[in-house]
Amino acid sequence: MMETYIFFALLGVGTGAMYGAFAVSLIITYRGCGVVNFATGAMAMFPTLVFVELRSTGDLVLPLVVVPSRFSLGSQISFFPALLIALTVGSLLAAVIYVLVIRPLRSSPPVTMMVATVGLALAIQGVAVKSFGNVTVRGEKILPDHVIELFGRPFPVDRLWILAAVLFLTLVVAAAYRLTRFGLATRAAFLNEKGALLLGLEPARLGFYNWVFASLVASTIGILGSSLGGVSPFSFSLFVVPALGAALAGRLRSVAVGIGAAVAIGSFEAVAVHIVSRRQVPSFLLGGFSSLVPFVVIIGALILVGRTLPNRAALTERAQVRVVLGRPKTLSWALMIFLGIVVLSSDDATIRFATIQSLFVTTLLLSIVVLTGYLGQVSLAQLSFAGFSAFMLSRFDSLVPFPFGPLLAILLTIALGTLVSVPALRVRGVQFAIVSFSIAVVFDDVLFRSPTFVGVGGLAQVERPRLFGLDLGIFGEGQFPDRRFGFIVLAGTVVCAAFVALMGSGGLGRRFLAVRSNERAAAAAGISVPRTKIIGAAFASGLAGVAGVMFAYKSVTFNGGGLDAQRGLELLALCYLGGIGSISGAVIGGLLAPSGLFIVAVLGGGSSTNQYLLTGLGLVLVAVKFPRGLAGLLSTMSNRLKVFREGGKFNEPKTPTTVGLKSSRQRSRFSYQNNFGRKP
Amino acid sequence: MALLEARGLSVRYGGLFANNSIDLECRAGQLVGLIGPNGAGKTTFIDAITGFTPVSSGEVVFDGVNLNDKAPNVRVALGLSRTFQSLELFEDLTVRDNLLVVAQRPKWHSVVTDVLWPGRDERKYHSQVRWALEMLQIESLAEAMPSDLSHGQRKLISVARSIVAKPQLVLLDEPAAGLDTAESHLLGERLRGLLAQDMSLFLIDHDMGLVLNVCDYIYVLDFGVIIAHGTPSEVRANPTVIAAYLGDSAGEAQAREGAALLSRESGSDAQSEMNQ
Repeated sequence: MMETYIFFALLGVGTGAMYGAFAVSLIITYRGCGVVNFATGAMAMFPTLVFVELRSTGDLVLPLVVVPSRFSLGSQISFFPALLIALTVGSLLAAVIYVLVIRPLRSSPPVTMMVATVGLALAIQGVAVKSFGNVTVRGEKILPDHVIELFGRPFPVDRLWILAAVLFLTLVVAAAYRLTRFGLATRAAFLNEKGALLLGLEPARLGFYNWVFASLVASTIGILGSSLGGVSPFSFSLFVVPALGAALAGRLRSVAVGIGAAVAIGSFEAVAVHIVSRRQVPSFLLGGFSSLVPFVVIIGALILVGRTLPNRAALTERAQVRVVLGRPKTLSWALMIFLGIVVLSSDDATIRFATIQSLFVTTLLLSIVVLTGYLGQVSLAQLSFAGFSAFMLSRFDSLVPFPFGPLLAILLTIALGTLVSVPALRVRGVQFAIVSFSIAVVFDDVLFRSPTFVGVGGLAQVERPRLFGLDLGIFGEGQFPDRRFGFIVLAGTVVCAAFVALMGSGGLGRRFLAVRSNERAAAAAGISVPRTKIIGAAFASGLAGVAGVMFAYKSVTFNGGGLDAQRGLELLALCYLGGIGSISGAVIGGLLAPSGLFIVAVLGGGSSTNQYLLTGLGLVLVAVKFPRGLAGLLSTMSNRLKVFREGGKFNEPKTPTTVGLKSSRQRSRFSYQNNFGRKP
Repeated sequence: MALLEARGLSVRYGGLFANNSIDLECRAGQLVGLIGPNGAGKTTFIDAITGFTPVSSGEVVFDGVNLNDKAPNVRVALGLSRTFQSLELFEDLTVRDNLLVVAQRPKWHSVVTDVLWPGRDERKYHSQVRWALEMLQIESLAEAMPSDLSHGQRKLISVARSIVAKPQLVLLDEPAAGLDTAESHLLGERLRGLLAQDMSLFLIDHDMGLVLNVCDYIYVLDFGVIIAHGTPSEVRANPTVIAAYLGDSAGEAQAREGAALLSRESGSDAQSEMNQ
C-alpha cells in the first residue's frame, strides 16, 4: 500500500520539477523586477512551440502579427541549433517585453504591474494561437525515456531526468546569485533601490537581465519537458498556480525551498490522481481532487508566511489608480439608460443579444470595481462566484418559485464569497490575486466539472422565470431574445450600478479607499480593517451573484465552459481596460466584452483569437499609458475640452475642483507661504 | 483624575525591553510630553498605548477602561487618537476625504445606512472637517492631494486628521520632526489652542525647545525606562536628564542658549505671520 503511494509520488516528480522551474523563474522576476509575472507560462510556451515546430517542419515562427511570421529554414532542424534558435526567440521576446512594458511600469504599483503581465499572457497566447493554431503538439523525446521496473510497476525514467535538469539549473541559478557581483547587485537593488542607484548600480538594467534570465530558465525547462505532456498555446499558463504556491512557500526568496515545495506539489497531485482513480474520495470531488493540492499550499503559505513576505523597495512612490468619489451625474445616467432601451428595442436579434451579453459582463465588472478598484483586492475569482450563483439557481429554480430562486442563489453566493474572503483577510493586492486565482482554478476543476455539482450529463438547466403568469425568460413570447427579458437585465444592471454609486458616494466608499490606501492609518482612523474587507467581499460577491443569475437565464442551458480561471484573467483585463476605478469603466468593459455590443455591432463579430489578442494588448497599453483605463482617458479628454472651450490654459486636474485654476502645486506653495512664512 | 494611565507597561522585542515597566499618567486638559533620545522607546510607547504593538506586561487604562485586549480601531472609537511619525496619510484621497474618513465613526448599522442614504449626517462631518482645518489654519489645502504638499503641510494635515473626530486624547508622534524652528514654534501654539477645545494632548518629540515650551508636564524616557518626570522647570533642572539627554552640563548651557535664541527669533517671526 505504502509502496503504491511512493510509486505515484515518484511519478509526479516530473511535473513537480516543471512547476519548480516556473517557481524559480517567478522568484527571479520578483527579486529582479518586483513583478509577480502571470505571463511566466506563456513566455515559456512560445519558445517551446517554436522549438517543436523547428524540429518537425523546419519552419521558424516569430511572435509577430500582421507581418509574415513564418519563415522556412529548409528541412527539419537538428536538436542543438533548434534549441539555440528557440531560446534566442524566447529571450528576444522577453527583452522586447521588458523594454516596452515592464521598464515603463517600474514606478507603478505592484498590482498594476501584475495586471499588465496578465495582459501579456493573453496577448502571447493570442499570437500563439494565430501562429500555431489551437492544438496540442507533442514534442519528440529529448530525454532518455526507457521504462524501469519499480515496486513491480513500469516506471518511465524521463521524469527523473527532468528533475535532474531542474536541480542542475537551480544550482546554476543559486550559484549565480550567491557568488557573482550581479547577484549581489540584484539583492541590493531589491532591498533598497535608491541606495543601489547611489552606489552606481542601475536597477533598470539589473531588472532587464533578471527578466530575460528568468524567461530563459522557464523556456529551457519548457522545451525539455515538452515531451512529457505535450504543449499547446494554453498549456503552461495554469502552471503559474502551483508555481506560485511553491514560490510563496519559499517566501519569494529561497530557490531551494521553492523547488522542494514544487516537487512536493507535483508528487501529491500524482498521488491525488491515484486516490481519485481508486475512488477513495467522495464522488463529489472526483473531478478535480488533485487541483486542491496547490490551493492548499498557497493558502497555507500565505497564512504562515504572508505577513513576512518581502516587499520590493521602490525608488518612486507608487500611487494607486485614482478613484473619484462623489455624487453620480444624473444626466449621463439618464442618457446611458435611454441608449440601453433604444438598443434593446432593436429589430436585430444579434444586437439585442450582444447588448444582453454586455449588460451581464458590466454587472460582473461592477463587482471587480468594488473589490479591486475601491478596496484594492485584486480578484480573479469573480467569474467563478458568478458561475456558482448560476449553478445554484439551476438547482433551486425548480424547488422555489421565481423571484426566490435567484434570491437564494445570490444569498448563497454572498455567503460563499464572504466565507472565502476570511482566510484572505491577512493578504492584499498581489497576494490576494494569487489566492483568488487559485480559488478560480479550484472552482473550475472541483465544482464546474463535477457531475454531482453541475447536473446530469454535465449540463445545468434553468426553467423559464414566470411571475404572475408572465414569461420573463429570454425566449419570452416573441422572438429570441425577448425584449422584455432585455429590459429586465438592463434594470438589474442599473440597480447594481446605482448600488455601487451610492456606496461610493458615502462613508463606506471612503472607508474602502482608506483601507486600500493605508491599512495602518485606516486602523488609526477607527476603521476595522478586517470588517471592511469582509463587507467589500460580501458586496462584490453579491454583484457577482446577480451577474450569475443573468448568465443562467441568458444561457438557459450551460456547463462549466466559459467559467474557467483563464476567463477570469480575461475579465480582469477587460475591467482594467475599461477603468478599474469607476462605474463607467465597468460599462466600457462590458461593451468591449467578447460577443458584446461593440464587438458585434462595430467589428461585426471578428474572430475570438483577435479579440483575445486585442484585449491583451489593450490591457498592456492601458497599464503602461492610462492607468485609469478608457473611462479615465475619456474623463481627462472631456475636462480638456471643457477648459479649451472656456479659453483657459489646461492643467492636468489633480482634483475635480482645480480644473482651470492654478495647478495645485502652485497653490500649495502659495498657501505654504501664508502658513509658515518660509519662502518657496 | 487621570485620563490615560500606563501601569507597569513593558514591551519586549526578543530579549530587548523597548519599554520597561513604564508608569505614566495623562490628566484631562493637559499637554503631557514624553522626551528622550533616539531609540529610547518613545514610538514603541505610543504603539503600545494605541494597540499597534502587543504589550508584554502591564496595563493601559483609558477613561476607566482597560485597553489591553482592544483592537486599535476600538481604542480610536473610545476617544484615543494618534498621529504617526511617518504621517501615513491616505495618499490617494484628497485632504478633505482624509479627514472625512476619520470624522465619521462607523457604527454597526453604517453598512446599510451608508449605502441606502449616503448623504446622511454628511453635513455634520463636513463642518467637523472645516473646524479641524481651521484649528490648524490649513483650510486652503482642503481639495489638494497629500502628495502635492510640502512636508510641513503634510504634518499639519496628519494632526488635523487626528483631531477631526474630537477625541478626548490625541497622541502626537514627533509632530515637529523635520520642521524648522519657526514652524515648530507655530505648531506649538496651535497645539496649545487645541487644549482650549476640551481636548488633551500627549506629545513625543526630541525637539527640546518645543516640548519644554508647550508642555504642562514632562516624562523623560531613556533606554525604555522613565528616568524623570515633572513640570518643564523641574525637568530642565534635573541632573539625570541633563546627563542622559544632553550628555553633560555644557550641552545644557548650549541648549538654553539655543532655546533663548529660538524664542526671540521665531517669536517675532511668528507674530508677524499671525498678523498677516
